[in-house]
Amino acid sequence: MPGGWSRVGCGARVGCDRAISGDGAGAGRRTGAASMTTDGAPTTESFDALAAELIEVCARGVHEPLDDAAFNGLALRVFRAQFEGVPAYRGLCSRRGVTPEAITHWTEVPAVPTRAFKSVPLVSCSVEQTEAEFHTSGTTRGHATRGVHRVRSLALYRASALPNFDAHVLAGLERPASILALMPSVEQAPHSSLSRMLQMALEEWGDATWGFFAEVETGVRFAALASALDRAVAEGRPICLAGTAFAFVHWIDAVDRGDGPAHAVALPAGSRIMETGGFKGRSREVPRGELYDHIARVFGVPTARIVNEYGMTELLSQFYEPVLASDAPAPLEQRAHRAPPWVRTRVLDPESLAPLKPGETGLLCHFDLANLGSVSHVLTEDLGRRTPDGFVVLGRNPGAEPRGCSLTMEDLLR
Amino acid sequence: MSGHTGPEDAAEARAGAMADELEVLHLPPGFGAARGRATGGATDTVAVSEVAADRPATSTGDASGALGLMQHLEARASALEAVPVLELAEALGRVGERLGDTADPLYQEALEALIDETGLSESQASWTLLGMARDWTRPALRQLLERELIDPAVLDAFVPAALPEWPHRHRRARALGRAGGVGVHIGSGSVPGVSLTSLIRGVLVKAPVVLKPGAGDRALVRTFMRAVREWAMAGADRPDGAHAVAAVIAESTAVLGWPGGSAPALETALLGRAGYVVVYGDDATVEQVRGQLQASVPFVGYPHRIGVAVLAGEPDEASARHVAEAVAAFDQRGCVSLQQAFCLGTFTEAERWGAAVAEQLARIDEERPPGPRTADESSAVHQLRTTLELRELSGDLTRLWSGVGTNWTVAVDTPDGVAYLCAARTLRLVPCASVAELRHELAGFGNRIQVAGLAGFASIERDNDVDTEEDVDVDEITEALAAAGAGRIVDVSRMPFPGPGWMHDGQGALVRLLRWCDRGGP
Repeated sequence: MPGGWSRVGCGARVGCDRAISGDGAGAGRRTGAASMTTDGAPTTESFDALAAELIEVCARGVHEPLDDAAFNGLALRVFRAQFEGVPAYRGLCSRRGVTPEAITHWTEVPAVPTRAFKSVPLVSCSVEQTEAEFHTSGTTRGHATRGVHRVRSLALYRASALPNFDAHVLAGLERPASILALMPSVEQAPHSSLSRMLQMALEEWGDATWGFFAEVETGVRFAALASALDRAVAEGRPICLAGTAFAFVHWIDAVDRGDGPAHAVALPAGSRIMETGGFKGRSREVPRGELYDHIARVFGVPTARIVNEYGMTELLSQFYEPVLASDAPAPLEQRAHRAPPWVRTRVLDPESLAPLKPGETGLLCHFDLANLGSVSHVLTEDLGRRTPDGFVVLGRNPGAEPRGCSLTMEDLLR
Repeated sequence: MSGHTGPEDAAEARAGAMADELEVLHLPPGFGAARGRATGGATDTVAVSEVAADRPATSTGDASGALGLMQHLEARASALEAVPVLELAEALGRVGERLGDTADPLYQEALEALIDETGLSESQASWTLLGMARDWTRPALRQLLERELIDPAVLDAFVPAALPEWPHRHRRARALGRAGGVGVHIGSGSVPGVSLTSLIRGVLVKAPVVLKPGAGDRALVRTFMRAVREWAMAGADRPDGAHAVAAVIAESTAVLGWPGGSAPALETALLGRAGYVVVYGDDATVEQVRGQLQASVPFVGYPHRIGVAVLAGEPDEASARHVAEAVAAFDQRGCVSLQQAFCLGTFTEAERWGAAVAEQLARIDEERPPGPRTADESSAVHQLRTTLELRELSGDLTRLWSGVGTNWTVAVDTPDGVAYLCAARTLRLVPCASVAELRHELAGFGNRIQVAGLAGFASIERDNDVDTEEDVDVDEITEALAAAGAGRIVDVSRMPFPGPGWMHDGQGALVRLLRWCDRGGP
């Protein structure tokens, strides 16, 4: 299995919203700014202290709103830390005339493109001090194109990821939960943010007798997964099965071919699936509706209980479609992703980068407080549109006629 | 589909909503007249509502309609085959020339349609139309035939073998359209004129053609075919040779537009009966169409490719202008547009080229501003520019020039920089200290290079055998470019508009549509 199991960069894991609630609100007010010295000049805030405060915010869970003023105050303090701690980013901001003293709202903070993570060390500490490196997938001939997100604090990642996962994927599931990850373990894939997240979920809420059911080199462990699924059926306990779309296709193909132990099952009621993006260059690609139909058929889990996660290596927070919270989720094409309270997402005009109105399609741009150790304001290449409930991810240039007969980056990366 | 699973559904839903949109750009007049007539129990019409051949309409298409159309075209094959190829070239060329004649009302009509369709500025649209139309003239079409076939009459009958090295005295050759049926040509791009060129090639090999032009490439073929029809109809009561040929062409061709993938029944019906198939598109499109064909159906795929250039010496204004023109050509959407350039020399020398090209791109931007960028093109530019700034601020050797909005960008980057391909008049310029380094860089494109331009080499297009000191380098460089997949190496000034008979994907475009019959040979 070429390409490893890292998350595809630049937003390839697909399911936010709110500045989607916070656009413009609070502008002109300075709240929660850095502490001041007696002469009024701001001081450098301790990373650990700010991280601890953010961890506390995350610990309130995804259902505890963070109002725009509070978000803005935290965002400005986060920006100051990043301005002071990430030299290249400081240079970029300075070129644009943006300093912590010069702005009053997080939307004024310069955004960094996801592709910059491929070639610029965006971290506020030395590489040696980082606690993990998350890599995007993707290589090309003779060139390094792997994005790297250097993580200064895994505790902050944990604090951000777990409540969101719990609320949107494990909701209603008995603990310890039966979590089956169609991913290689963290030992095998130390640079996979998805493996790390699932590992953390297993540690926090999982039944230790389940775990990871894929290998880096060979993909899904057919025999082990078949046995685990049979066990789940026999025990009658609902499970959570989480993995990339690619991994699900791998298994479904095996079932349909009658490969060895692979077979269809009807998982106990209450079971749920979390699927996330990740096909590029590794497998046949399947439209989402078709994939969900296959998942429903092969695992006996209705599409209403299939949760899509939109995440990216460049962000430590994730976005989910809150389907488990509804008895009758919206049709697939209308499902929207939600951001946790510590993230704001805007939809920007692709040409001018000006904010767009709800319903208009543009580039998704996120401000993730959990990215404290690197850069929080990240401009993606994904198109989306705001909805009343969050945002719909449309991917890159969805439905458009190909641009011509010249090669695209995606062609080259194949 | 990208790496996501979420968004495709939305795209599919939109595509599904468009599935009923079939734009009829041209139908054989006789087919329109036969509309509604039952033939042996099967309808002899395309399932379009109120289609008049001289009045493009939007309606629905289905499999039975497509079948009727294919049958109609198949029945006209013998009439097309009977027309001497030079007469076909003459008729096609006479209409083509009008699209390149600024004094002709048809040119103005085509230009306006092109602007409406693409959003290009008038100056850019005119530049594009006039450049493309050079290939549609009578001399150009004759050149195309002669360069690829030597003796065009080989398309009409067995002729003495034209190649002098053929040893068999009585040997004769005959070239036939590979179809034995209708050629289905599928364009999926937005470069204006590509689809029309494909249709002309198809007619020249004397097989009826069904063309599905790319969504952004319908205006010119629509205008062209309407002119053919009108010419044919104008001469209906006093048929001379030319009018009659125009009538045969109009009767042997159909042009239908629909969003690719949105009408599977229609596509399946056309492909299932195709004599041969030509597809322009990205890898996925080419593969998807090929996968629908029986093994016996000849297939010509033109996947996306890239244009590169190698620059040497000091830039002068003219050379920099040529480089900039190649970048701006087709707003960089063509495989003959320049995307990546390699400067033989140091970073500082590459910077000089970068500055000179940037100056020229700024001028072109004023003279011929680009058309609208797609969202992904604009996005790519934003990603590239800020990433390069951050790299520079991190200590990497990079240099950036840019214009208004995302109109144009020049980036000088180091060879080991992150690979990226360019859009929206963006040139990536990389210094290479040696030909070996150039080879290494070129290898990154995996044989995806269509055309390579050279600038700063005095004798690249000489046709003598005199080696100078510089020629050694030129030969080495052209070898490297050829090895990297380039099928055409020219002075950079000639990159955007290849002449007739160019090596498209390394082969003659007409020859790929032909099968040969060799009488009396080995």
